Amino acid sequence: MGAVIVAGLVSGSIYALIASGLSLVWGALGVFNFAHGALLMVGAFVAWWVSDPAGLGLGLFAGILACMIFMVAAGAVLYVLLVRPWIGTPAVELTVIMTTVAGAMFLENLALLIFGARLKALDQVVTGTVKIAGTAMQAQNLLVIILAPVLLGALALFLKLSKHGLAIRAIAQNDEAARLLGIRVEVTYLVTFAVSALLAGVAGVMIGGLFNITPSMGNEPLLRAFLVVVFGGLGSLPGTIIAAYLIGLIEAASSYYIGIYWTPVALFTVLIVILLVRPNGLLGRSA
Amino acid sequence: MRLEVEDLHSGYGRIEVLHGISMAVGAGESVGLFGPNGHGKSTLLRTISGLVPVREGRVRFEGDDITGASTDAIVGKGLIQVAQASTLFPRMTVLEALTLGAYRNAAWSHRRETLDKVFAIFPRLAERRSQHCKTLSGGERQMAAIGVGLMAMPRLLILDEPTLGLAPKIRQELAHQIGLVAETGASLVVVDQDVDLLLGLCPRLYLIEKGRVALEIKDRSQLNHQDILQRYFGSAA
Repeated sequence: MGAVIVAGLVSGSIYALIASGLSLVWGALGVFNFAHGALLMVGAFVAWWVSDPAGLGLGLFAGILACMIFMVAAGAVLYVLLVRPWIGTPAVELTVIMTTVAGAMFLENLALLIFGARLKALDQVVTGTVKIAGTAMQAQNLLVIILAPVLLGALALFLKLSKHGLAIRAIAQNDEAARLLGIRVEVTYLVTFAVSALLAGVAGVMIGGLFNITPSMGNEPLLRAFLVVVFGGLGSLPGTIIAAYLIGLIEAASSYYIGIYWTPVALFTVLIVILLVRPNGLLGRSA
Repeated sequence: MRLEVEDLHSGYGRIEVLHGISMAVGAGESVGLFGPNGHGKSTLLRTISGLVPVREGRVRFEGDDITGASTDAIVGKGLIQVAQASTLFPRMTVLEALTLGAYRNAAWSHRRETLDKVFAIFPRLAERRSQHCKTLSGGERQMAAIGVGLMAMPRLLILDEPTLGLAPKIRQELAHQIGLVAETGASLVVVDQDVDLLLGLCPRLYLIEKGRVALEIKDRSQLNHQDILQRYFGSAA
């Protein structure tokens, strides 16, 4: 039971970080970024390359720091190249699906070309095991469980208190009123992508420390993140976060009690039933 | 002159809505705009704020030519427009929306002092500060919208139909509060259907009709406004 909850909270934490970035971009721009999973992978590789002796060998903390800086820039570049040219065109949602899918393929193959297909892993930030309420867990798992809510809390504060955070929400809620306050929509979109990529990078580092780093490591989490965003209610950050933890826990429980092969079936059954009852997701707004 | 509009033409797509409007607003002056719906009042305001491109003519603000400038550059100079308040920012609290009002650089560092001034004019907003905008009543929403505009420390504040759809009593309260806003030294441009309300607030009015200035009323004592009502809104008004 304890082990199930730990596993659920770890995946929930990682899903929440990935999905909140996706949700933020959807809320502000109304587009889905299909390269979000590839960003996660890029973040993990940057952290590995800077930290690992096979790369620069500067140690884990330098790796994580480099990853965070790199991701902010990567998010901005991705926005400028793959999204900005189509803002304001009639089919922007569909066009951006195509451009970001293309971007994801490009990044995946680029990573394969540069780093090869051999599995890599990041060092763990903390090692050993800890025991809480009779449940033994890897210290790294505990760190993920603690760190994710801290980062999500920081994101919430950014959106509630800072000028750029408020601007992101304003554009999502009333584009014209936001422009009339002098908010530079272009700049705000750029900031949204940078923040979103930063969250993806952190998730990449977490996954890289717990599992493996491969060029395709972002695909599965991206799919989960889409489920989370739809399940939680499009554009609702609290909904997204609740949904992330719920899905993490459902997956963990069903893998343990029903079996890993039936887990997707169980997960999708729960999602479909809930979306039948609440078509806009847990905390979604009606259109 | 704080705002000068000269022979302004603009519109949407192939349709021209403004066919050469000229108007001016002095420093600290309040000017009213009225006229039938669909004759270009909102288009005029949207063009002045840079949301609709200028096709011909000039807009000057405090002597600077702002024709064709971006909305954020225009706002940066202190020309602030309060959008029609029906929605504002539905899922932000009143305090968040007000804080965001101070977005422009010149206003951001003064946001705490400005907030006190806004609360002094609209005490109701202070009571409602942690409520979401969508839960406000119609009158409170208008107050919030004007308050958000004031947070930007406007040199000129444009109000587009601030009393739209409000009950007469709230309309009176709001008119009084707009009067207080005028005393802050900002120039005001107020659009409203209620000519009596405009006459109470603004010494000078423009009647906008068919995309042109049909009439400028400079002296309200000479105004037979019954005549105007009859001429432009039909005898039933």
